[in-house]
Parts: sequence; structure tokens; C-alpha cells
Amino acid sequence: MTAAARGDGDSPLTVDERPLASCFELVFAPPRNAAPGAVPGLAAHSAALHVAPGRWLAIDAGAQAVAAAVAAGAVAIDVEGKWRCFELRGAHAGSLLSAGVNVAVILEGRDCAAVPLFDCPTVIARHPREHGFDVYVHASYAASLRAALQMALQRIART
Amino acid sequence: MTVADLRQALAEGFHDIEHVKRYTALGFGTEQGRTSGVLGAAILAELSQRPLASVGVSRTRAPFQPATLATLCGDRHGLALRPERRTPLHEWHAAQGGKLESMGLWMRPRFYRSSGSDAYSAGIHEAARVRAHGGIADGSTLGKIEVCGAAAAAFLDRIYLTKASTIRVGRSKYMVLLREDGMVLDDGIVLRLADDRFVATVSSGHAGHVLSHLEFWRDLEFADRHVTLTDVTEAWSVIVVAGPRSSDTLQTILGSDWQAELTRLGHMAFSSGQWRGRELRVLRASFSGERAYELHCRPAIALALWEMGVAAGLAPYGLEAMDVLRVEKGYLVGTEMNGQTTPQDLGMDSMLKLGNACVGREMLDRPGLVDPERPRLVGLRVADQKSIFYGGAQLTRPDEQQRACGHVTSSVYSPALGQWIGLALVSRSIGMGTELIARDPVRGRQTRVCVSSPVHIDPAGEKMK
Repeated sequence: MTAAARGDGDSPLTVDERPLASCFELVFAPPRNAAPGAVPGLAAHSAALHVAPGRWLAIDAGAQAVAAAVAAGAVAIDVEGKWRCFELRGAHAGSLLSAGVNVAVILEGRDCAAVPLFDCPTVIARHPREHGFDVYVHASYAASLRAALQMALQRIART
Repeated sequence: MTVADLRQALAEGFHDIEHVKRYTALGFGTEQGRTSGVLGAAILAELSQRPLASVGVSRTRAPFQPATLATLCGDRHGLALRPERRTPLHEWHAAQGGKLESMGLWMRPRFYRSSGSDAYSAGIHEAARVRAHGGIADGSTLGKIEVCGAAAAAFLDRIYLTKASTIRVGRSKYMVLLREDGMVLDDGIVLRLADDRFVATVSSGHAGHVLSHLEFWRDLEFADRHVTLTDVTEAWSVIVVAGPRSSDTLQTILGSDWQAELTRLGHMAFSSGQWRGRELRVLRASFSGERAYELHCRPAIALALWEMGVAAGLAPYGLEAMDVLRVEKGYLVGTEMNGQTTPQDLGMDSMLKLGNACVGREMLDRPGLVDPERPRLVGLRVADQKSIFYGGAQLTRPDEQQRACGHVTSSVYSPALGQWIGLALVSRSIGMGTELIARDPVRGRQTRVCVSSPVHIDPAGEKMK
């Protein structure tokens, strides 16, 4: 899906689906004492999202990064196909999510959070470089989330 | 409610209008007290000889003005009202005449219009075709939970009625898990991928609930041990290939790389490998009573695999046919595992005899759960071989019309047997061959049925070998 609407600022508001080359869930058991929410970058286009205690979602991580996590005690589960990613870009990308969640509150002091968005299980991550967010959703819900985002986009375009 | 109810409330000491409201349901109707509240208060005043002003009216609650449903739902309509879950084959089903219906949140093909104009006729046609030739079905909604870690086997031993630790790597086992009160929670096949790695398959509609159940017991008893739980439902699509031609067709689809593996694959064994560069697991297991294979594949290759199966002559079949096939074979779904049935009720005595100390096991020895009047799973067949009976019908003895001794949990027309058959939960004191009446007052139907084994066809499992 690609659509655009003009927000109040300079940058257009866009929603695009980005294909994921690989996806692993890295799980430490028992979980270590660190609060979820961090998103360290692994390489140029990859990241590890700390989505729950002891659980990381490694997006497009290379084999070496996964192996390093396993060497550090993680169990690596290849979940290719489980997650889909929608990129929300633009200065007012947060307003796109406002019908579902208060993203400013949810991401206060953190860069990602696992949260139901429009009743779909998602992980919302702040983009480190551009204005906007990456929304990861369970693949079976992708059509529903796409429809909800499209509706939100149209509502913003009308206003 | 009546004036007599108000008089009774006063006689029992309820004088405050709020108490009278809660005791008598005054003002609970669709007009929410707009009329009855004031009239009731006036009657109370008269009965208790008090001024109306001192009786007052009960507190009103929002909405104070009528609101349209559109106001309440706002933008939440269509897919935004309730999300729906789709398998990777959703578009194919929709394009090829699949009648997609929601099963929980999942959209699943009930039948294909090329098989018949309605669910009943299409389901029979598709089921008969599977038994005669073969068929292909989308089982991607099957819940899958990957259980990993050094203590994974011990953890699953604690959760399931039988031991997972005895499963050899590359093999699988049909397993059942109980709630804490001993009632059956769910069933499924558990595959052992490695010494410390399992995949537990669970019913489509139960995946979230079972994962929560597993997480609760992991945190309660295995918090300091190495057990991880991951929902991998969407990471693996499942394509079911069933029927007498399934083996040959699968060899054609998967090619020579898989030929040796498929030949040696015994019942409940699985093989892991690659197809078109993506992971594929072929599990030989059956929910139809036919020789069948479950192709657990990455979603990226699901459509290609499916289309090759169809091109190789396997016609798709939907939920209606699946139901016919599983009732013929006596396999269980949620109507039998309804939260009120124990393993003994469902004929799982051989599993119980193994004596595994799992969650809920100790509760099964309560006297009430071994009572001779407890229900037991049986099969049903119509006595005259031509009448119809439906799920939900109450079962009575012919001479005890007012007292139910069980109920019909599932019923289908069996193309293999040429008559209506079913599964039922009836009192254990009722023996095989007993004639009962299936009473269905909603549809105005009474049918004579005979109690039989729940396995209606191929009790020795010859077709699956």
C-alpha cells in the first residue's frame, strides 16, 4: 500500500509496506533484568527490538548477529513470515496512529512497544533517523491493519 | 414486574428506592425507567403511605439522549470493526470460489462453489472425493507454539497428559492437555525437532488461550529453568494433502529430492528439508482417516506448493468436508472438548493409564468425575438409515421422554456410509446398540438413533497406513 496525504508540516504523510528479508525472535530464559523498549541498530537496515522481558525481535539481522545472540545465551527462533512491516513516515505520522493509541505516551522514554493497534497485535518502533514509525504486525492481521491505516490516512487527508 | 412485587419488597424491608430497584428490577426494561420508574415510585409512595417526593426516583445513567449506532461505532466498520485474520492462501480461495467464513477471527473456506451450490451438498461432494481420490486443504490457521530449551521436554511432560520426553527426534505424537480442574483444554500433535526443541500444534481457535496457559505454568513452575515459548503460527503455513492419491501426488509436487524421505516416512513421523530454497516440514498425520500429509512450509512458498497440488489433480476441500471426514473417523473438536469433558468422558483411558503427573491429573480422581452417570463419547447412527438428526439434539431413552441422558455434539451426512451419523455425549450406563431418541424441539424433529462406536469407519486405521 502506498498512499500520501499532506499534513500541516512540510513532509508528506505516507504509509508503505516494507518487505522483511529475515526475522528472528531471540529469547533469553530466564529473562534478564532489563526493561523492554530499546531498539539498538545492528547494521544499516537492521534492528533488534526489545519487545518484552527477555525477548527481542531481530529484523533483517545477519547470520553473524543472530549467532552472537545465541552465543550470549539466547534461543533463536526463525519466524520468517510471521511479521509484516508498515512504514509510517512524515512529521505527523503520530497523528495517523492517534485513533488507536497515544503513541507519545506509549513511546515515552523508549523506542519500541508491543501494543494492540486497531485490535491487531503490533510492535510500534520509532524510526531512528526519519520522522515516523515502523509498525510490525502479525502477518495474518496485515490486511486489517492496512485497512485501518488507510482509513486513518483518508480522515487526515479530509481534514 | 407487578405491583405485588413492590408490595413484597416493602414487606421484606426494602424501602429505599435504590434497594427496591435492585430487588425487583423496577426500571430495568427497554425504557430504562423513563416510564416505569416514576409510576413505580408513585405506587411505592401509595403502598408505604409516604409522599412521592420522599420516595424519589432511582439514579439515572447515561445515555440520557437516544444515540444512533453509527454515533457509537464511528469509523469502526468493515475491517476496522473487527480485524480478520487471513492465511497466505486467502486470495486464492476467494478467487477460486471458496466460500470464506469467519471462524473466530480467522477467515476460512467453508466449501468451494465448484463442488456444489451450498455447504451441505458441496461438503458431501468434497468429502467423498477425498476418500475416493484425494484432496488438498488449507490448515494454516492451526496454532503452533515452539517450545525450546534444556527443560522443554520436562515442561511439556508437566503440561500434557502423556509424556513428550519419550518422543524421538523426527517423530510426533497426538497429545492432550488439561485445565487445572482436570477438564480437557485442547489437543494437538507435538513434533520433536531436536532434543531441546518442540513444536506443539493446537486448535486454531485456542492458540492464544493455550499459549497463555503454557506461559502461566512456565512462569509458575519453570521460571528459573530454561524454557522458552514462541508463537510461530504465522511463520508456518500448513497445507494438508489427504486421500489415497496423496502419497503419489506429493512425490510429484516435491520432486526427486524428497522421494526417498517420503517413502520412508511412517505414520506420525516428519521430515525437514527445503523446497525452492525455503524450509519445509512434511508430517505424516491425518485428521481425515485417510493417508495424509501436513506440509508445514514457510508462507513464501505456500501458494506455489498449493497451486502445484491443485495442478496435480488434488481438488481443494473446505471446513464442511473436514467436519464430515473427522466425524466419520470419530475425531474431536470443540463441541466434544467443550470445557466440561474429562479424558475419561472422551474415551482417552489409554492415555490416563500411563499415569503421567500432569497439570489437572490429580483432579480427575474426584468421585463426581467417575460417576456412572458422567457422559461418555459415543457414536450415533440413525435407526432407519434414512432419517436426519442434528447437533444439539437432546437424547432420551424411548420410555423416558422427559429426562435427557445426553446430547448430540456433532452430526453429518456420511457419504461413506450413506446415512446420517454423529458423535454424542451420553451417560456411561448406556451400552452400545441402545436405541435412543434424538429430540430436537427447535426444528420439530424426533429421530430414532442407535449408540455405536465413535469410530464410524476404518476402526483399525488401515487406510492411514
